[in-house]
Amino acid sequence: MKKLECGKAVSGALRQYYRDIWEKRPLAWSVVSSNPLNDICNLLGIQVAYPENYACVCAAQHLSEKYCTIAESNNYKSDLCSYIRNNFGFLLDQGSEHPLGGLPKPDVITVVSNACLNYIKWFDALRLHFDVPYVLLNTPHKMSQDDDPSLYVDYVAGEIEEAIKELEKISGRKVTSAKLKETAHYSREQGKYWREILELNKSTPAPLNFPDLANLIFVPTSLSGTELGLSLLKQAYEEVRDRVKNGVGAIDDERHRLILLNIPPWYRLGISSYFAEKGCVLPFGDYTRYVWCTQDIDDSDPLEHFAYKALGMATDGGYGSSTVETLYGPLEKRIEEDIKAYNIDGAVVQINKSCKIMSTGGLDIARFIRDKMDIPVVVLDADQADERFYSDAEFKQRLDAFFDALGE
Amino acid sequence: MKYFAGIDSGSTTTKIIIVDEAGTIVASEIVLSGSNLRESANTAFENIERRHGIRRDQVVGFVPTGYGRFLLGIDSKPISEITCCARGSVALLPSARTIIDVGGQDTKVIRIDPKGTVKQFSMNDKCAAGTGKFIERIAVSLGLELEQMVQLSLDSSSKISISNTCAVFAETEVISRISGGEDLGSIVRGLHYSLASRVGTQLARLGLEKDVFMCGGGALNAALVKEMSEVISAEIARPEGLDCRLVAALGAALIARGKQGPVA
Repeated sequence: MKKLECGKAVSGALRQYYRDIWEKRPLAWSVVSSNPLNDICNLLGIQVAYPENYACVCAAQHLSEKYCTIAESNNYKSDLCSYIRNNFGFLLDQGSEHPLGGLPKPDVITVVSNACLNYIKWFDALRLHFDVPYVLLNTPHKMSQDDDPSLYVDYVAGEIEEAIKELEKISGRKVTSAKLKETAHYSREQGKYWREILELNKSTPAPLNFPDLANLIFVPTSLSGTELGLSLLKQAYEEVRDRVKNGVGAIDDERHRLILLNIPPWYRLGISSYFAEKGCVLPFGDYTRYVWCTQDIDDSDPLEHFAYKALGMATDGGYGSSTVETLYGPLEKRIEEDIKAYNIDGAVVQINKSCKIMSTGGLDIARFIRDKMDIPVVVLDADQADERFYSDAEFKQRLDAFFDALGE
Repeated sequence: MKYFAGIDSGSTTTKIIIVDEAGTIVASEIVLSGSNLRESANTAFENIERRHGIRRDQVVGFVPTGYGRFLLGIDSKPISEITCCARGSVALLPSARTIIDVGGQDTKVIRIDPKGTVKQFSMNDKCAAGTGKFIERIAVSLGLELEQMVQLSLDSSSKISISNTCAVFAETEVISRISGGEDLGSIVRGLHYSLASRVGTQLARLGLEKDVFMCGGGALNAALVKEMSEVISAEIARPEGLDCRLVAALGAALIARGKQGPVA
């Protein structure tokens, strides 16, 4: 598999980001998705750490068994999302060495109620753990995809204004309207480049494989609303565009193009090489296409831009608790369109023990793809960040039969 | 004479089938897998040579399958058990379109086309209460042989619902039912029904297409087949003249032979 040249710059930014978390203050612990307060924090010079991302790092370092066991021994039930259990396992395992040096104690916690149903409780538990200020952006949940988010924009914009006041107190700086406009602009432009990259991935051969996208997602999530984030995504876009122009694929011998549904097991991203050996590339996943930066949001009124972002406009692909009507109907339609657009000939559907939101209806989607799209489907069972629920032999047993069904 | 071998290295047993150039089964062996899968496969080959006089150098094509397919040290492309099971099933019953394979470690439901190509499949490899281990485990705790369990179930005119969804807790439930004076036959039939209904749920997700063919160790259990047939409201065919556990090995041997079609 070919790595992106800009991957070095992204890795450098990631290392710098973790250094800054330790060296600079103040520090927020924050929900990553649908949270415009991250953009505001970046604007105010508040470093932002994402426990959700860090849980992925812990899982990728094969520490999930240790951390989840510690969390469960401390009354965090095994049914909870493994991001939460990894996070509390890490926090309660003081005295040990942790990946990337760990995460330092925050000065503030920010959360948006749209991000995920679990996160309000998770971050509330963090508030109790650290006893620090807690800034909650309360956002109404839409009842369906047809709900008009503009009905709630004024309310959410007001919430953001209140939150800005709190964050200004913590940072000791002021948000100017010029800076807010600039941040909204970076946020919008990042979204544009992300979507452009995903569009380019419709090409055959696909310039990017799923792990490339999963690594790149660090930029529009952790560096949201920053000039650095925009410049990295622009760099990635230009490189991907060149790959398309020169017919360069992410894998050497692309014979099959697969859709990947649900959050991958972060501790086994290497399984993609098993796919690549069979000539299978994963140019399209719901996690990379329907969760982040899914729509263009006008930035002429920055507060409105961020309000729409909080209302799930950026995550409005059918997932996320921003929409009560999550997995049915609209998602099937989008998947059908995208399977055609990406020229997909097989589907990998993961049932993820941790994520009820993304897994509820997963079997219905699998059936829809199998029956309506008439392409082979494999259903895998695992957990996004709890390695105890993964079996390599079972994965490969199912995948081998799936590869046989795909044909040479 | 040239021969072709299918080797199914499973969690409990290693199965080998040898077919000749016409696809006729000429020998088969089942040995316990134990902890060294390569050694078990060698033992099975030695048994074939001793009992059937077929030397290993006469076998010109091998296909390893099963969970241990990568570990046998055989220089041939491993093929998944699902593909092999499908090929073996359609060779034995050309009209088979839905296969239920109840093994000790997992249960598979496979939909195939007339050529034996896998269309779709579903596996339960997470929950022991949906596999053959469920019945085996409870037989041990009741101090019964499997054959006795089967007969008790077949003789019982009623069944008691075993509600627990976990194999371990179901065992506790069974013991408490017995302590409560419930009829042993009804309990044992309830256990078979419980496993059958779990597999039935798995099958419902894929959709049933007739004919239904059942294989794997679970197909040896007549009580399970009877309950399963009632749950899915369809007749279930089983291998005739061949141990139900050998179907994937047969498919592997036929793939090694490179042709498909009914076994001569």
